Amino acid sequence: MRKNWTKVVIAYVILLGWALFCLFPFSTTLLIALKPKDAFMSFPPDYFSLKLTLNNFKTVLSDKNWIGYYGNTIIIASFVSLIAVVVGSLAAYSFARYNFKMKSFLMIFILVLQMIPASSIIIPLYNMFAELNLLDTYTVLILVNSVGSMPLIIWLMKGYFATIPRELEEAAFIDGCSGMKAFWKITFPMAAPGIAASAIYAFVRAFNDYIIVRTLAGSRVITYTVGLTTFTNQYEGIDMNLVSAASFTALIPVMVMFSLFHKHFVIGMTGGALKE
Amino acid sequence: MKRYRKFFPIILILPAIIMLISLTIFPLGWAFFTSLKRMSLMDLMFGGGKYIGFKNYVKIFSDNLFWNSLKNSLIFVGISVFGQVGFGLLLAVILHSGLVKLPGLFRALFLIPWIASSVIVAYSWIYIFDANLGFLPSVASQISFLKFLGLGRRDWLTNPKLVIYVLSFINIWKGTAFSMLMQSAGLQSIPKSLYEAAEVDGANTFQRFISITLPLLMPFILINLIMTTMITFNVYDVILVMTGGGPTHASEVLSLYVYNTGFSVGDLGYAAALSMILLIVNLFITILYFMLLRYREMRQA
Repeated sequence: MRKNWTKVVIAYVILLGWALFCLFPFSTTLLIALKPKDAFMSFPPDYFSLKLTLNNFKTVLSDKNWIGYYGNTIIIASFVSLIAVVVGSLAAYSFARYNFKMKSFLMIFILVLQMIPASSIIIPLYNMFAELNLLDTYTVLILVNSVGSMPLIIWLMKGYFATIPRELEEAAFIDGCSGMKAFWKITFPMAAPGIAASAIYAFVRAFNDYIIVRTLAGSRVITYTVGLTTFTNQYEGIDMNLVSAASFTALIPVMVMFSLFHKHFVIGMTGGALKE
Repeated sequence: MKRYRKFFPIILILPAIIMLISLTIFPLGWAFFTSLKRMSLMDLMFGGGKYIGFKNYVKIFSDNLFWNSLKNSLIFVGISVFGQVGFGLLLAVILHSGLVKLPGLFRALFLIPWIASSVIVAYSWIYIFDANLGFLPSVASQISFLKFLGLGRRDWLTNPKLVIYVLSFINIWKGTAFSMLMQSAGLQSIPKSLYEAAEVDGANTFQRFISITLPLLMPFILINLIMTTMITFNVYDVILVMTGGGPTHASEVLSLYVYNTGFSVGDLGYAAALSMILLIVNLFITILYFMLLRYREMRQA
């Protein structure tokens, strides 16, 4: 195709503009994180001078509370990922392989569950777990977050299992494997890309969650999203240098996962509908 | 053994179904019963409230704050959806056109706002718009050109007339990536041969876009519109952190109003009734979504 240079220039201008727009708030956050405290003591605050420091990062990374919140988040997100993927894949496998009564009803039912917003059940969830005495525990956060990502994982994994030829499993059956064993030995490894996408989806969702932690926990069990807010209360007013530095340390794992598993990430976050 | 075989598929599904029902359907039923009670956060500790029938629902109609939050939701959803789907389409078309090098790199950059946690996003934007320490007011007050453009103001998050638009703008920034991905998937489904044929016929870029891309992309755009509407209607975490719904309820969208009624005001009964309204709105959008999917299947068949 012949190239029209005006078009190329316009395309680059739009894309570069949008890329700068996307990065703008994060670069401001980074700038604030690298500024010494006194830059914000005066008015107007000093954004221009090049007096930079790594002290804020040092303070944040040696803050025992912050490291604790961070650890909590990783523990919870890992369990969520494990539970959601195992329980979700089992169901998805059944949907992909077997025919039974109510199958299509259950599939639609699960799709509808995906549409029910957390905001309309967070209040009864609070009531429920208050009566069960489970507020402010790891259990409640792991359960609620797992269920949150399960519908999408079931649909995504069903698509993957459907593409794996049945003959392979039947061969394993003939060799004397049980249904379960055939699933773990043959099907599970072959569905690895889907499993990776599901695991990342569940992990990131739980890692980034704020509403569930804030509502159902947040005094004994604290994750980093709520921890950022409490950070502000430890000092007089908001310590924007520390909050910014802490934000950055929390952005990094998601960014690293994103750059490593870019493709799985996109599939996971958008569901099977958008397999690229 | 045979019997075991017969139940095997059900056994596989059971854990998922039990979890989904006990943490989604059951709470919904619970919410309905709570909505029939007068119940505060205090009542929760001392064993339930008092049944008052449908009084909570009657109250909704004369509740100014409810209508205010509905109005805010309409503004927030309207602007966000229009912006996200529009920009998403624009970016997807450019990335798909082959005019630029490294489309993958651009796409990865564009996804960052979408995958970042809402709390971090909220703080990043607070530090841009904050009246005293924010980047924009501080920088714009020192550069006369920016001042001239009207960016020198300090009341981005404190002006009741302005705040909901600022938050909608931030939501466009955060959510456009999702639309871009959906439209990219749509564009990939259009066969290249159609464009080649059109080029032979002498159609220019704009004509090709109008007569080939747009009609074939329409189903994706529609589904995108509905999904984005639903997602936007229910998000409030960024708003909760940035303004909490303030100043004086000016940025309180419906889903945030439900949350605030439950956990700031502490009126669980009324909040449950409000969340039923929210659920009905969502079911309505869901039905629309399914009708559209069915319509698409029928057309493909």
